[in-house]
Amino acid sequence: MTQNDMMTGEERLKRKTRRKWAIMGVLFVIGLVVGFTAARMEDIRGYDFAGPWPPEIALGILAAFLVTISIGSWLQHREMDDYERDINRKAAAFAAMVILVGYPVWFLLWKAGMVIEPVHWMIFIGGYIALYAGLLFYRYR
Amino acid sequence: MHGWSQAELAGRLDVSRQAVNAIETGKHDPSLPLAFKIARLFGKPIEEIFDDSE
Repeated sequence: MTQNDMMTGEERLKRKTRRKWAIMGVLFVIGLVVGFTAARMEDIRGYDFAGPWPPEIALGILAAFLVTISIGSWLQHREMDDYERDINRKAAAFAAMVILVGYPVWFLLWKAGMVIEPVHWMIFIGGYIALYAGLLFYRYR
Repeated sequence: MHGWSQAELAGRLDVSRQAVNAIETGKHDPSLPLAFKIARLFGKPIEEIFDDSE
């Protein structure tokens, strides 16, 4: 009999929840370091978003981002149950729709001279906002 | 059925408490493997636990 078999359901749930928060905590800290480094690079350059960064810094951040996203997604997916997977799938589909529809709408409004040219980082952040809005909606509706 | 809390049932099924709540309130249809797991845990056939009428 394993230690897991001897635990009550509530103890098992607490352990699972602790594991999930630990994964999220580690991912959050890595995200914070990556975000802070990126912000610091812009700070040094006076927030000239069009200007280049030293390639080693940009590639270092890129590697940290890709490794974190790959390992983090795999770990999160392993801990998810089918309800969480379901709401994540719906929220991701909603966010994808916001980007796929939002970009052409913005582009055409720009062509009509009504708005500024589409800004790539605003589209990226818009996608994230849509993702989290979708997660909240599908969880608490 | 067994007087278990949602947290106890969630732990026994290896899912989140929110998943148990969503299934109980009809907001989420469990996957077939999870439905079988629930049926096995309660020692009853699936159709006795889940009602497919709208």
